[in-house]
Amino acid sequence: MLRLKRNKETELAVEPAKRLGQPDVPAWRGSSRLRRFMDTWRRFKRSRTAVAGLVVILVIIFMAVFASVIAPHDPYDPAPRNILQSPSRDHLMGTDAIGRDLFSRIIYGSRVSLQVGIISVGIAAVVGVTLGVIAAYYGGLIDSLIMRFLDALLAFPAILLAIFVMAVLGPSIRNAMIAIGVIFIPAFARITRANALSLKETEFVEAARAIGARDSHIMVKTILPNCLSPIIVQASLGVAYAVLVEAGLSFLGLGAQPPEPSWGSILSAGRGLMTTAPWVATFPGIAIFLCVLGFNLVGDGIREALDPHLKNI
Amino acid sequence: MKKKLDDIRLLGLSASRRRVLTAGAFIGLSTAGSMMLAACGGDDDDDDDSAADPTEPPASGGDPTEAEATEADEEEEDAEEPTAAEDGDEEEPTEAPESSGEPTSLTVGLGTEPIEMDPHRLTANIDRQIQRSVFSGLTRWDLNMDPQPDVAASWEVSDDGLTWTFQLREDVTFHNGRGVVADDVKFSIDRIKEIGPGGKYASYITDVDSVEVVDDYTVQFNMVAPSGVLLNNLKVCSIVPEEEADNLSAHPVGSGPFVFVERIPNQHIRLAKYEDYHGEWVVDYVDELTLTPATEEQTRIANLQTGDIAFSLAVPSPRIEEVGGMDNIELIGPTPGSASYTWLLMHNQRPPFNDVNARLAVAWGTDREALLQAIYRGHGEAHWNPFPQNHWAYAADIEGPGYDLDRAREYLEMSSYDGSEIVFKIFTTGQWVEYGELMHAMLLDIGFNVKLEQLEFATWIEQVYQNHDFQIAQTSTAREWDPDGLTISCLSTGGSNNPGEYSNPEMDAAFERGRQAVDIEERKAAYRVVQEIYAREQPHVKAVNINSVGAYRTDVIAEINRDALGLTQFEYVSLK
Repeated sequence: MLRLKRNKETELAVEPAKRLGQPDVPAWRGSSRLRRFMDTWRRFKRSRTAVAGLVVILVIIFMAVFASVIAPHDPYDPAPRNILQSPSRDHLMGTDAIGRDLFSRIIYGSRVSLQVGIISVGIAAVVGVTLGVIAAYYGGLIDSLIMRFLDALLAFPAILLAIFVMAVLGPSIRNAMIAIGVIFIPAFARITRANALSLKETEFVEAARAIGARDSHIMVKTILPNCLSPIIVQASLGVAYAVLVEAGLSFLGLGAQPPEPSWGSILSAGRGLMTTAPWVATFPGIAIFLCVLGFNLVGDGIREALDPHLKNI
Repeated sequence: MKKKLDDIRLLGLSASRRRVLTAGAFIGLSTAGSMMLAACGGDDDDDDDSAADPTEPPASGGDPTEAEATEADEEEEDAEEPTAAEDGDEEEPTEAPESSGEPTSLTVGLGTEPIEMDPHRLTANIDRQIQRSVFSGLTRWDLNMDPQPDVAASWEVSDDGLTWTFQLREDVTFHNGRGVVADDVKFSIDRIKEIGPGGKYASYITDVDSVEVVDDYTVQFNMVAPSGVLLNNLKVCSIVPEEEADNLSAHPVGSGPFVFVERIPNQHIRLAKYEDYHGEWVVDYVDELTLTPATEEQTRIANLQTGDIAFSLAVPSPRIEEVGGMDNIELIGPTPGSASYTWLLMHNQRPPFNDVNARLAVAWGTDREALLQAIYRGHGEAHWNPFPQNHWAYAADIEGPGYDLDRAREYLEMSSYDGSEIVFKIFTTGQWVEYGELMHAMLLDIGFNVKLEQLEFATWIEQVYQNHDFQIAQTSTAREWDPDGLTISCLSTGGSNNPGEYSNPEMDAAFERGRQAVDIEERKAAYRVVQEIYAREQPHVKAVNINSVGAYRTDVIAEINRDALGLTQFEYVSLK
């Protein structure tokens, strides 16, 4: 097969096709990526809730990255004579059932939540998008196979599937990432496939094929970039949900293992203490809530901002 | 032109589509509605909480261990599983009149749903509460946990200790009216042995070779060896009527102070006072006893506050102070002491803990007081010795490990521990995760490289107790008050609570002496040896004797008791 040589001739050949067949790219001259990004950003900034969500996320990321600097105490250090202290100046969020500083544990817990949230969505995105594009591009049997496999995944309630995967692999943070990644694959795959299907029929793809571009090149360079918008939105919403699922898994004892702090496991420990030491459950609950809310708002904001360019979500 | 709705023709009838659809919907909904109503009136939903929160497989003697679900006791109280909230037919405890005019009743909240009511098949500690109330044995325990005559009026031992002759009371009757005779004793003992490891008590009577019926009211026990624990153990070998034996799990019939009336799973178990009970009631009060099994601990405490229950067998330790401070509510701990203690298991045949120095390092690096305060809020004893300090066999002058981090580190230096990672297995119910984390921090402090691994209880039992696949693991154990029952299965070669495979012939010999001696001083001497060896070798590390705490309403109950196992003899409970 002829390889597409990127030189002046091929560029000129491809360019007009691009412009012609692509309804969602604005008719700018010299469509620079940076310009497009700045436009989107400007639109994003207009929404106050989106910006608020972004601020929350940035704070949490900051907490996670600089945990060792911010945390006033060692999150692993028990003080058996100081258990279940209510919030005070020394312990901003009180202490837990064996005397560890709750504030420090929540700060370190953000690491687990973000790690798992982002990486699991990353896994899901990589696998899901790949599957979606392949399924759309090749169609036929491959499409059927892939879609049936994804339907099987979708048939399970998400958390149940995650628990099942954890039961097979064993409880740990790494396995939680895999488990949560698995449950998100169908979402990414479907979105990508839907987009790719419609893009497949456009003239510029035809043109690229006519030139002799390889399948993989077409998929990666032409189809994929135009599916990105819904994928990005799905990703940020996905992180929100992933943080929630991770908290759920830790709550059940399946995520971060003791003594590692995770918002879900702190919440679980605090459940029996609601009458005697409500802060143990309240603060991780607030943390989970804010994190999920933040990512949700950002995801919505991105979707709004990309709106003119979005064909479907 | 407007299209008319099609007519539907069926069976010669014709109706407009709209009519048909309406009729169909009406029929369908009413059918569904009536089915739902029928279903609702039926039985309760089955929340299965019978996998009671486990703690330790009890068993004394050489029981092969199975994944026994035991009751959640004490801090095992915190381990309670939530179950269907009962609130079925609890009755308000009423004023008890001096004359038995109106029936008086007592509603009690247990810690967990009892699993098995057949006294020969039970394994969980909570099941023993029912056994205690419905059945009797040849002997019983008084409030000091000393054996007293029950169905047996008197007994004699031969000089060689191998033959025990029991003279039975002639006025004991089963709840079905039949008098208890020697045949029933023989039948019961044989049945326990037959059931074997399927029940808890077969290992308690391994030294009984056979039982002979001499006459209607005389029974002879032929022993394999002399026994100092037989009288104690006979308490739990309940006497059952042969004709009811097949149905005991559903309808227990015994000769105890209470008759079984009914049981609605997850709702209540109702017992009524047995008018023809041969024993004495301290006061003629409790006519009806309703045992409501498990509920979410918060619900149980709320019920106690409102008066829906008058006595809660188990109070989770984080709430002990709070509950004790409530109006009209008092706490009650075990008397004379507690037969439960925390047990840090170490595998004695595998590195690093096959080296006694490593074990001593752990023993000296365990801050027992901290564990007692943090996890049990001070309810218990922080002491190295499994014997509670008020136990008659407790040897006060033996020195054992305390908390000295420097000394612990010295022992660690002396040991052959090479710094490799040790896996510390804990299970996840109740406060055991917190306990494990504290213990983990202490082990790290001493200098061990330890990783915490939390397992679901059944998995933990399988790995630790069944397969002995562990290096160090945390649990607790609820034993018997008799020194034999208190320790033997944990420290003897092949003992069922000794998954760490500790084996010391000197210790085994001391146990045998203690078991077979009838004279109390001889037994004390034997158990003293046990304690000495234990202090030196620390095969497992004990941290805290756990005093499980119950709570009762003082405006209802005048006097109540609680034994070393956290169970109550309701025939001695008096109401106000």
